[in-house]
Amino acid sequence: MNNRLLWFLRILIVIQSLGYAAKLVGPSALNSFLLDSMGDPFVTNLDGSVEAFLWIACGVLPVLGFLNPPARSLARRLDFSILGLLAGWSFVLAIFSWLVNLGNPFHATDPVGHAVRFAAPLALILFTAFPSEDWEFKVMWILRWGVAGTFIGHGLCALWIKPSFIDLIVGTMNSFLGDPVLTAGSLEALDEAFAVAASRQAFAEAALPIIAIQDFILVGLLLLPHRKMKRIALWMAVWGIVTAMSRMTAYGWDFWHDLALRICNGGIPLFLWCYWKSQDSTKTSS
Amino acid sequence: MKLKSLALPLLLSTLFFSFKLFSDTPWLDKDYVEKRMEGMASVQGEGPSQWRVIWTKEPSTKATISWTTAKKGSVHKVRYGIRSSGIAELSTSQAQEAQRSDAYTSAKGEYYHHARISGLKPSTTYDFEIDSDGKKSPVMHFTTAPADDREFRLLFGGDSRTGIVSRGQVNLLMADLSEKDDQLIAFAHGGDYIVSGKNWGQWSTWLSQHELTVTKSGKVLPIIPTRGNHDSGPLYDEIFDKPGGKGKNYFHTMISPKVALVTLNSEISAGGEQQAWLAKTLFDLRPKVRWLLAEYHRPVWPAVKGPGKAKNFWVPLFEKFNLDLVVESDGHVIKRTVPIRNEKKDPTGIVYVGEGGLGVPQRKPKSDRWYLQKPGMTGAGHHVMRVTFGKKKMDYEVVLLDRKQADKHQFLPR
Repeated sequence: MNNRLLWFLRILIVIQSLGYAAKLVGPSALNSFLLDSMGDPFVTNLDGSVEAFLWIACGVLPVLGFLNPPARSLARRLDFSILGLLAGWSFVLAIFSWLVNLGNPFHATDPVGHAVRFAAPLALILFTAFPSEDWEFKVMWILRWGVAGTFIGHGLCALWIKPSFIDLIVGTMNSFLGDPVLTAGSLEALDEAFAVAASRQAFAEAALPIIAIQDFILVGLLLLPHRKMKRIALWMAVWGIVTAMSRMTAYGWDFWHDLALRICNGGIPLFLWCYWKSQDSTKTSS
Repeated sequence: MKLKSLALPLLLSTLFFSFKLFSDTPWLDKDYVEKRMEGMASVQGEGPSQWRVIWTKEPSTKATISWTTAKKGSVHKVRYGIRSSGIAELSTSQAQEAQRSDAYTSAKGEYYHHARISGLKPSTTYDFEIDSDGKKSPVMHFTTAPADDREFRLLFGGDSRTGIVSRGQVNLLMADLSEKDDQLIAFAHGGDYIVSGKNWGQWSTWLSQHELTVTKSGKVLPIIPTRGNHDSGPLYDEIFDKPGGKGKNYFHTMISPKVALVTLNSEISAGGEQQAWLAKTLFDLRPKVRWLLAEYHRPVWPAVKGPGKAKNFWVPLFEKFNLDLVVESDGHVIKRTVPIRNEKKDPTGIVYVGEGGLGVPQRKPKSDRWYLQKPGMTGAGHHVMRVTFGKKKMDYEVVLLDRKQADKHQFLPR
């Protein structure tokens, strides 16, 4: 595996961890799940410990990347432990987000929809621990399935018209085109603003099923066996970043952590594209 | 000798039980709560149970009386009439058949019934009795909202989803507050009634426990419902008769000509139509009313969590139309923010209170957030918020289970 690509993967994981750490300004899904049985002091301390770990991980992971310690060394084991815990935290949050909101169809997609978040640290461990072509091939499939899971989760939420997705589209349109509701000063202007707001919502509701179909088609193409769909991976990268960015375009800079913890949604497809491109250039030069 | 040795324990136990019996906060004793819960009307046979009165848009002349039966039954009606004396009686009554009856989704054969009553007189106490196939509920009563500018009180609270006994305790507290106060006319629930909105068993327990808010004299506090993030699914609309319309669940309640409560739904798109509706509603209401309030579930100025996504859509409107108070839930704490305008403390700003303590375990608020500093406040404890709407001031207070006041604040008309 190309060392630059490993660095790229590591940076994605660090950004994702920054997002998770900043998100712990509020209680985690695990906290909410355990609150009844364990009480607030325990769950608050639990979240606090995880937050501290995440901030430390964000600092330690790049250092360990620079050091590139030998296999079986203590530093390498530390690196793997941190990455393993990051993968575990992403997975645990996805599961408990579903369990805390049992009956909510959108949260039920979280264990699948967050797949790329726990696939990324797992992949970095495996790439580093088993630097053979055979393993590379297997790990790339883990990443492909991770991306597929995330796009399936996103597609299902879009298909079922997740209300917050409507707000992402309407909020982004308001950011770029202006929000007529906030500027209207008379009843007539409010009537006009109502029509504009309703049309933007209608647009979002019409667009979401199309987005869902696109997501499912992309997943199908990405998972085609014996194929490396570079253009598909590139489009998924662009789309993944755009959808993650929409948290900020709709709600502003305060929501940077929502982009950060979704960085792998576009980052891992970009990683796939870079990897396949580097493979092509290696073949051409040889 | 034996008698003498028995006398002291006997005296002590008599004192102990007398204390429990005559305590003004008997619900603090969990055994008492469990005993009261055993006395709730069971959902069985053809008789009515799980009664509630629902207010949405025009509570001075309209109310929905709703209940549950274990079987479909055939004739479901409410007899009601103006209370002429202090005693519950229905000598000169009218009747209203349930306009909407159907099976609760995913229930075990239980049915809901909604009798929508209109043409009521404002500020009038009505006795009512629910009759399902000849099986009758006790005679209960509620008072309609005023059509004049008289003083009255509302209770607010949210998050009753877990802590079954604690929920019973808060319900009994509400009944007690209601019994002693003719000016207390309704209760606005801020959402998260139960853990899983699609679980009929949880809703059924909540509905039965709601009976504990009915006073010993039969006074029922009408409920103004708000949908929370745990209340997804069709049961909410079946239980509260689609408040604000199916799929929307946002509406405004003219509680008096001078007091309006706007109930928003933070579980659907906050932008788009809901935001535009909010703007039109506030534009219409602000010049008419003295006290303009909003309520929704997910906080935009939270004391524990991150801000709700509705913030960008709703807060500029709250500030533009100078709301007098905004009630939030979801955080499981007690909070009152400083007045906020343009993301800063501003004496002309909006005060946000909350955040849910009708039974859920309480959290420790993040009191270091700028908007929770003094003169704002934070705390924890099961509670209800009581707001008194007067001509010259609006009094806000937080009442804890032991009836102690955790917070109070006075608002003057803008």
